[in-house]
Amino acid sequence: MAGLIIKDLINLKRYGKILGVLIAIYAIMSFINKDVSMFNSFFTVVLAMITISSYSFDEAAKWDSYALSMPVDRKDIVRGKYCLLLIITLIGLGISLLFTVSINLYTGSNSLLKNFEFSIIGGLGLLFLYSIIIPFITRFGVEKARIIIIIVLMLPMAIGYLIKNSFNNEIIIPEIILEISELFLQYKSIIVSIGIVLALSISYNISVKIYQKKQF
Amino acid sequence: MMNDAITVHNLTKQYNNFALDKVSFRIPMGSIMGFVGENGAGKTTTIKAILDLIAIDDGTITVLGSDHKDLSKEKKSLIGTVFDGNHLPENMNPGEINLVMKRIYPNWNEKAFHSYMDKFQIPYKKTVKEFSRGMKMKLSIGVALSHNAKLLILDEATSGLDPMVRDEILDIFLDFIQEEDHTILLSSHIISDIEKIADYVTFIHKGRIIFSENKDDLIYNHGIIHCKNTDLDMIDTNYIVGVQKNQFGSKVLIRDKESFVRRYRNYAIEKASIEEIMLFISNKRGEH
Repeated sequence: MAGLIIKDLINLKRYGKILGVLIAIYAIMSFINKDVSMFNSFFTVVLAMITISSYSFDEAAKWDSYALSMPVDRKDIVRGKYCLLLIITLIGLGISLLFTVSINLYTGSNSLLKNFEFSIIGGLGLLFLYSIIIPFITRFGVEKARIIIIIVLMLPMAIGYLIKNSFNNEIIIPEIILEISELFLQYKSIIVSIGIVLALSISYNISVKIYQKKQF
Repeated sequence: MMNDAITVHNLTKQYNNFALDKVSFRIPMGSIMGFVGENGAGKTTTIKAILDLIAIDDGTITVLGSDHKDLSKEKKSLIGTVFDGNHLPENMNPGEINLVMKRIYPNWNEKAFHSYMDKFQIPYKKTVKEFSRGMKMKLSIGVALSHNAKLLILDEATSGLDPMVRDEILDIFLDFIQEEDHTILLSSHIISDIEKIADYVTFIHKGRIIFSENKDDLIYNHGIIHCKNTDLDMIDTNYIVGVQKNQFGSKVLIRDKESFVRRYRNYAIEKASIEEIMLFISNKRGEH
């Protein structure tokens, strides 16, 4: 499986230069504005694109059928993609942390944890969205799953918009929901962590089942 | 059979507009099987079935002594595959491909890979997408030959290559087969390649196996005669495989050559090539 992940990372290496330039531009803008939130949210979007690209490259090269003729089984291929997702997310968080630390040092502010929390939420959110998207890509391929990907990626924005509108219209939120929300906020780290692990493992199992039946 | 590298028995796969219909053949270990047929005859589908890339409706397939669905990673590492077209990642160069394969094949032979790349004059720093079709094919063949494989499954590995490169590659296959437990399944619609290197020929036509025989027996048992159109009625139809008629006479492919010669002494028999045998048979089937 290590070979499959290395293949993906080498394949995605070509994005390195473009990413470098984009990071530099956003970094400069963040330094000027003394605000890292733009950098961090941009980074989340870029990471989302990169993992999808690894599927596109494989499809273009018809890699999967070739890989399956090697000492690789179908589970390895699916597992490789989930590992790639985790690796890329970790790399993203690493860069984001480095950047947050440097901008905090530059501005002298001590909101390091708060800023980095944004990146972690972004990363976890991304993992959650991917746990929905990957089974669709596994089933339909990137091209056909494109609309689903767009819908899923837009979902958080739509939900955010709806919530914002609800507050504007001063809709009274039932007490029970407020209580649940408070409880959630109290244990958010544990709940979110368990939620993400659960989402990823369910997603992985669904993808494996789909991929076992896939024909090439 | 234990001595067969591949056994396909009654393989059936139904698609909307095409079907593999009870495809059966066996490839004895240590031999080269030429798998021939026109484009769309079912060669690639059969190979995909052997490699368990498609679900089959019926039949059994045994590869290196195991059911094709239960091949261990150890056995899979003994199979080298080359697909029609390139299936290697386009953004990678041979050096990077070596890095990946090293971690995929437990028996990867880096030295052999480098030596094939040098032999094929494939640049290390160029990415696959910059390669010509011939270079891509040679790179794939280099990968297939660099992990001590015992079985090569090659789907149209020589098509689209110029004659010089094809010859070079066929020689490499002949080198590979020198080891007695090495086997090659070579699918191609270029009959001359098959004629040059194959020990056995399997002919597939519209999803059905027409014949699967030893190449020399095939050539030995068939022959071509020329006769008047009116003479055709006098020949026992059991001998006639196919007829090409024109206004001057008929060209007839006959089977069971020795027996025919004993019975009809007045005909001069020419040697039939694999290509002629295939053309006669497929033309005859096309008439129905």
